[in-house]
Formats: sequence, C-alpha cells, structure tokens
Amino acid sequence: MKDHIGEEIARVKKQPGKNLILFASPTLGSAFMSLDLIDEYFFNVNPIVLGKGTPLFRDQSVIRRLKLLESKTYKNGVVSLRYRGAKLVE
Amino acid sequence: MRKIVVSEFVSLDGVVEDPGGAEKFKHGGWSFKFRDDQVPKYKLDELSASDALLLGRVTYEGFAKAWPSVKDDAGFADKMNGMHKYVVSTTLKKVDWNNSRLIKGNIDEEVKKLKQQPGKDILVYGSGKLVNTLLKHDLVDELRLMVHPVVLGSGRRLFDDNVETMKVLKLAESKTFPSGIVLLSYRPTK
Repeated sequence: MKDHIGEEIARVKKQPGKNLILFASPTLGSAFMSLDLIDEYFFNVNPIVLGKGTPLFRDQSVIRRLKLLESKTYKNGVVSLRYRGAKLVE
Repeated sequence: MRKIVVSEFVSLDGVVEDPGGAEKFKHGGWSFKFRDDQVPKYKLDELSASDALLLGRVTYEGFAKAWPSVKDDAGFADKMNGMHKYVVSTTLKKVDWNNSRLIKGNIDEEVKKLKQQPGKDILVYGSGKLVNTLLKHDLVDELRLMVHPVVLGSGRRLFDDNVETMKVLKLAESKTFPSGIVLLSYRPTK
C-alpha cells in the first residue's frame, strides 16, 4: 500500500476474517490514529526511563479519550494495558 | 529518612503539561475530564502522608495562583496551603505562597538535607524539570504515575530528551481506578 491508507485499510477491515494487528512503529501508529483506524490498543509499559527516542502519538490535531478495558501486571514489572479506540474529545 | 515521592498526572502519550489548567497550555486542565470517586481519596491519603511539597518554578507559580482561594470539605486545600513548600528556582526572587521557601542552587545537597530532617514524606507534584534532576541525583524514592486514558498528541512530556542516563525502575504497585486511570508506582534502582 503506497497511498490512500485510510481507504485501503477501511476496505480490508470490511472483509470477512479475524482481527488485524498493527505492530506499529510510533510513526505509523500516529498516522493510523489520526485516520481513526484503530479499534483497540495494547501497550506494554516497561519499567524503564529512556529519556530519548521517538514517542508515540505526536502531532495529533485532536485530543482522544480511550476506554481502559484491562490492565495486567507481570512479575518482571511490565504492565500491560488494553484500551478501546479513540473517542474524540471536543 | 524522609522519602521523596514524585506524583504525576500523565496522559497515555506521556504528557505532563498543565493537568490543572493554570499554565496556559492549549489542552490545560485535561485531568479534569475524568470524574472518579476514588481518586480524591487516594490523593488525600497521599497528601496526608506528607508534610512538605518540593516544587519547580512553573508548577509553583500555577499552584500559588490557584490554591490560596480554594476551599473543600475534605480539607485538601487547607493542607496544601498550610504545609511547607520548598521551591527550586534560579530566577524567582521571592515566594509569597504561605510557608514557602526558595532553594536557589545546590539542589542535590539541599534536598539531601531536607530528607535527613525529621518529618513525613516530601511530595513532588508536576515539576517536570526538577523531577529529571532529582532522578539524575538518585534522590527519588518513589515515582507515581497516574496514567489518564487520553492521548493529547502535543505538550511537554515528563521525560523529554533531557534525561542523560537510562533509569531502570522497579514496579512497586499498580492500581486501576473506575475512570480508567491507572496508577503505576515505581522505585528507581540505584
């Protein structure tokens, strides 16, 4: 897929089948979020401060509010958070 | 020894700028979008375990403007207004909020001195720049992140390219609130 990502993905979503997983780079994740293509978000929060690197979801033009569906804590300190996709706020 | 407890409101995308709306950020006041009947009790318990605030200049200025005129039944504001405030700033000349004192330099030594005094926890709200300095000097005993289920998409983040070293943390506690706010509580490893 080279362009019209929004339309292309919307078409794929309408096809019969199971869920689609986006193992996203921060850039692609931000783009998909802007296009309202994401239904569910999984985050694994690792107990480390990096202080550098590309953050998730930069340059969004609207605020989005998500709904927490589940949180799980693992022995190694990773917290896994699952959210339902974006509801626009204001 | 007294603990330094850093307690932050943070969005899912790591933004800590102006959750209370006193700093003129375009999304200022974003934390108020989440009504939750358990968070106020948690915040009050946290405040009651402390007898001093340690604040950076930006957070101090927002607080000093807002809190003196606040009253609430639970007594949160009275405690905020009454307790000791230590304000780290190289530019402020004076601090007028009741019971405030300026720390102008030697943060490392000054904070170590505070920790050795008898008393309860020392609480840090907001104060992003100061938090990074405290982490760098291994002065933080607990880092609490109240992760709000919102993506702001812009604004100052807590760890914005200014932490020189990586910090490995140990998860001490995680807790989910009815509004979907998740508390992640960490202890830095030294």
